[in-house]
Amino acid sequence: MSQFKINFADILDVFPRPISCMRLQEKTKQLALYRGGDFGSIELWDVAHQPCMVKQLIDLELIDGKPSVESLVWAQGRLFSGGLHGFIVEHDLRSGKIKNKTAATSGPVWCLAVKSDESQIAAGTEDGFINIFDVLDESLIYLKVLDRQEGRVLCMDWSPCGNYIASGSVDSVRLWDVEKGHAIQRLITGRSKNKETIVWSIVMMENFTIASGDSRGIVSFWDGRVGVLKFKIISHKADILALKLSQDKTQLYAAGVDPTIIIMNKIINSDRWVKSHPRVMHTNDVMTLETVGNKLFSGGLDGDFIMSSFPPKVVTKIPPIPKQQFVFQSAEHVLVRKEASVNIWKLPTPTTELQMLLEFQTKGSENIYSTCLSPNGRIFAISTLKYIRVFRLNDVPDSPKPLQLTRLNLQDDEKVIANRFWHLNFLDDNRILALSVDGRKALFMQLSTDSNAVQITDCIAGPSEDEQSDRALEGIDSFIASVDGKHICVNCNNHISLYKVDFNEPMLEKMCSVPNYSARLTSMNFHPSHPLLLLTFSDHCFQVYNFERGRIIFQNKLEKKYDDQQPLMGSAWIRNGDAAVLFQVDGMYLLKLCTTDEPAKKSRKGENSSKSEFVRFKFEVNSCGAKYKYLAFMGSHNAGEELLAAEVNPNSLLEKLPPAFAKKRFGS
Amino acid sequence: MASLSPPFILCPLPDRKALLGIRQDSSVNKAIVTLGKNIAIRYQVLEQKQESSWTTSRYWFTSPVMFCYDIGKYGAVLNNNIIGLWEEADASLANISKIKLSSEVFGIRSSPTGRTVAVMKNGNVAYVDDLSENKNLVKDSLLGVDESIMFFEVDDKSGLCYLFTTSEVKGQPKFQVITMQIEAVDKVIARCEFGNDTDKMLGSCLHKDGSDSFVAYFGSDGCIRKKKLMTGGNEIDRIKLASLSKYISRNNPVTMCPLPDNSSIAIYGSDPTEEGAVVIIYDILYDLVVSKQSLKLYSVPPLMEKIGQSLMVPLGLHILVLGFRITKSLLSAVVGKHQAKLDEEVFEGRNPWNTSTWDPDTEITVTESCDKSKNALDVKELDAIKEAYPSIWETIRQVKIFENEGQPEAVICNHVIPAALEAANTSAIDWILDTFSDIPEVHVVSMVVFSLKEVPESYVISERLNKLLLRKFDKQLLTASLRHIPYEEVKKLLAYLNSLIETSWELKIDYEDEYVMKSWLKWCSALIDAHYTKFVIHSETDVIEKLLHSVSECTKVMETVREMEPFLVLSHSKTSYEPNSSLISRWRTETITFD
Repeated sequence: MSQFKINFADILDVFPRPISCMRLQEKTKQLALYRGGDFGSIELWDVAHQPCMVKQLIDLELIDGKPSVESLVWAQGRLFSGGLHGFIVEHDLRSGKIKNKTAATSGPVWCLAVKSDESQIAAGTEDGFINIFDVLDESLIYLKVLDRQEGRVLCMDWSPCGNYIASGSVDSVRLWDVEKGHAIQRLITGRSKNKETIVWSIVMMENFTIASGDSRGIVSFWDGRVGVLKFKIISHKADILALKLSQDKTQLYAAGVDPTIIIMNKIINSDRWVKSHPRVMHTNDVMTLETVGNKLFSGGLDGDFIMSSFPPKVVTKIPPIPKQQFVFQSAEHVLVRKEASVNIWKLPTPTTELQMLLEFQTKGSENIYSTCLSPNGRIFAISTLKYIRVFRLNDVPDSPKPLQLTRLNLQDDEKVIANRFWHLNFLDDNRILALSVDGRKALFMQLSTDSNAVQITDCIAGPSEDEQSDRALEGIDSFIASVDGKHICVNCNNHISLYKVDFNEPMLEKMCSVPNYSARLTSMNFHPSHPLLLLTFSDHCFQVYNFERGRIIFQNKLEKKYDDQQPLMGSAWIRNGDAAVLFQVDGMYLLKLCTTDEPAKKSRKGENSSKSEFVRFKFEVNSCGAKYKYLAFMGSHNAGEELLAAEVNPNSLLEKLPPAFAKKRFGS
Repeated sequence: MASLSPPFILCPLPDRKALLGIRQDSSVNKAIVTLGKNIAIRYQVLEQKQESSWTTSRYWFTSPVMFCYDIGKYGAVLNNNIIGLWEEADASLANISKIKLSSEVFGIRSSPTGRTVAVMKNGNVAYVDDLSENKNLVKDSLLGVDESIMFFEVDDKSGLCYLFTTSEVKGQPKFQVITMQIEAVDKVIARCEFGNDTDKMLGSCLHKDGSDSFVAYFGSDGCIRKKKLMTGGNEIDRIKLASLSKYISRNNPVTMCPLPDNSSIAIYGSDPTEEGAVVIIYDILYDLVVSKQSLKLYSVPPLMEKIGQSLMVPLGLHILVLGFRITKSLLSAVVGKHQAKLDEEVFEGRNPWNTSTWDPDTEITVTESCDKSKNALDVKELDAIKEAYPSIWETIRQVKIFENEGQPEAVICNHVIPAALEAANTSAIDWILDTFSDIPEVHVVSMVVFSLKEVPESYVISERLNKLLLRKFDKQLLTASLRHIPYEEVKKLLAYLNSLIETSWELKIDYEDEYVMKSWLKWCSALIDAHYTKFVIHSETDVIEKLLHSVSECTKVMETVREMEPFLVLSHSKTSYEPNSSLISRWRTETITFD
């Protein structure tokens, strides 16, 4: 039994950003979703195992200074988005930047659809046009436009055969012949109380059945061949915003302003659908749905990304707290990165309290891509698409004066730094290593102790540039530096490599690669004194890798209940590396490590040791009964004797949400 | 008191003759303009923005379109004998609900608190919802053969409808107001005749005074009268209010419109010189013309509608909006201001104390009376004053004479202040300031200007100026008076006020009385209000910037004080409150056990 002191600091103020659209790439099981709000971002999730965020794209097309993404599609492994700015934007998944954009030509784009063979993309616009584009290797080429319809095209779906498109707009559903460019059916939805009916979502099935969800809360099933309403199901009390057909085409999910997700099942050997069980998981509007196997992914206004499946009933709620590293710690300070700002907190001492020293906002609310804090907590650096900035905190001890911030002059070679995203990390108090997200460049930055200058000592080819394999095409997802600053560990699309850093030369020398593991890497952490690397994965597995010997010395998978699918989020070493705490959103585990010179014995249950003949370490895994909500960060505190944790209170998220759809409940 | 704001154009008017009328929409600041026979447009008045419109192809509007509050629909008379009702979304008016009647409809009227009333050309009246069930309600004719309706008014509370009719008897026009109970079997309650005292009635309106209904009317003799509504042509009930021939021409018809304060009436007519039109607001209670606005063009028939807080008048090829304000005024703003001629705001020259009319000869009367009463003064007392205060002796003597005549302070000030200013007698001015409480604003301003000249720089404190700036005043009158002072003086005064505000905050003077700061700020706002255009055109922003800076400094302090409020509230409710609890609660320590 081990006991630790854990300090909870209330330093996170997370604003739930709504999820407005999602799209799955079948082949790679990658799910792209758009989180809106003032600082929108497209998130790429790996949903092959437990859902795990892989990448975040923050370079988006803007309209009136705000990003807009109304629809996302995957075509030929490439991601396209359309929005109110009127462009179809292709995103470069390697560098995280906009690759190219094509004007949709007739006003804001409300919806996108892709042909089943992924050779064409259709865009429905404000002016009532459906524009068809050919997907070429480098860009989109405008092919044709279908006849204009009255009013905006709000939703669209391409038929599985590829010859027809079903579109939804106000009061009507249309079926288009793509070849001829004419609407072959116009299906009138009807009105309730003479209020116009808005068709928000549409699904086209193989047998020409079109399902539409509208603002009356009705799912209508139309026969596309003859243009008649087959039947309708009154499923919701308010607008249905999302419809999704399961991959086996036997279930149809519907949800919307009324956040209950209703499942409709197809009767075998019949053309009829019946209402099945509901799932109530969201508090506010459900805006988008996606399915993988029997798993349903849903997102909406409350920002929760929820995976649910039945049978057996499993619901995994991933709250809207940042998934990438956003809290950075030094001995006395904590830096919290937000979308376009940085907060620096001073940790409490016996005489002082926890206090926020600084709230730093980027000029023009530029999105911050990466941040780092020096080990002594005096310097921090940020990177955006346009620049890298380094700041020094001039903290006068015991002074009531506010903290002063000095910007250090960076020899800004525009051609090198600008127009690239950079990952930043301090190697020691005066040295910063920056790796470009596309992996092509590595910058070595030396900070001067006596002047406000930052010197870029050299810019060399990045880790991906030399590689001959496929990995050269993948960007760097994250990298960390060891405590002594001599090693870095780079994660390129789940391929983990270790490099030796020589700052004087300067050069990066590849040491070894960690054997590939099927599940996604969620965190990596260097041991403070030994050449060990602690890796956690989304399937509750974790590994300890000895990078001097180049082998995994310990691997374990946490035993969990079948319905606990929350992935491990990160880890923190404590007591000078004698133990590590692994945490997930609602709980934590302890990994004890002790050095031994004795050879390994046969392991018992719950106690494992490595099988190497040069055994030096012994591991033990313990669990903690206490449950927390929602753990977002853990680190060591008080010279590694205690733990520091940051929580996001679920109630604080709820408070920031707009009023939910009111429903009468019995007895209320 | 009511006052008119400068006019602005709402919308273009293609054909003045085809304009059927303007009515209020469902909300206060929206108006429906029925242009021509087949188009009606809804406007946001203050935003000068068109909201939506209706056009008809099969029917013609024969009355203005209006919102029927009780039915929740829009309504108008179509093709003379159809009452059409429709919703906002029905743009083309093709399929609307209609009530077709055998006789012609004069118009309909609805108000937020009552039911919609339809008035027939035959004089019969009924509620529209009753008409839809029984069309025979308005079958009978209640008017004479040659009698025709000019306009009508509806009183929702008592369920009465007043028809203003005209007929010709032996070549002479005869006016009648018929009071009708809308739901009664015998609808006509009273017929009240007008016009015997005047050659011609040029315009009239309903005027409510408490529970009694009067008709206020403007005759061709240039007088405005009011008469209680009762049967017959009893001349005794008639009250002559005033002669307005000074403001409005007696040769052309006028439109009158009662304002919501129940004491003011807006009148639109032609200018006395007949070179344009004029809109005046006449206050029945104080018997004053309180506001006046001249317009370039007068058109017949005169048309003016009250929509929310605005009056709408067609002017040439536009519809003009004149906003009006009804505000409380100090009695001193009304009394004793009779000779102040301020831009458009013209106050009629009437002396409330004398039955004879006030004229420029009063000066002579005063002088005469001065001589008469000279002996009545205590010679000894005057001598003593003369010895003690030789500089102000003349002023005191003048004042005593007026006091003996029983003149109010404001009238006395009208005489003694200009004299003292002309003689640059500072001690007399100081004495006047200490003695009189009711000094007209125009004189306060002239004394401020006088004192300002003595101040070399804005940061030098002048006691008299400070005293003047702390006097009570009516803001409207002050603003009007300030318009006449030169712009250079305005800037200097503003700089002086700014330095006052700044120094008081820098010195951290604890104000027991916030009145001082309020008064300075009121002066600042009145100055900027009066010379707003000049500040904008000259684009001299430094004075304003300085003022803004000082004001924002003040507001910062106010905000700090405001932050104290919750502490005080909690202390008052005896709840323990730790100011740093929020910081403490951000950090908590637990011990966890792994097993």
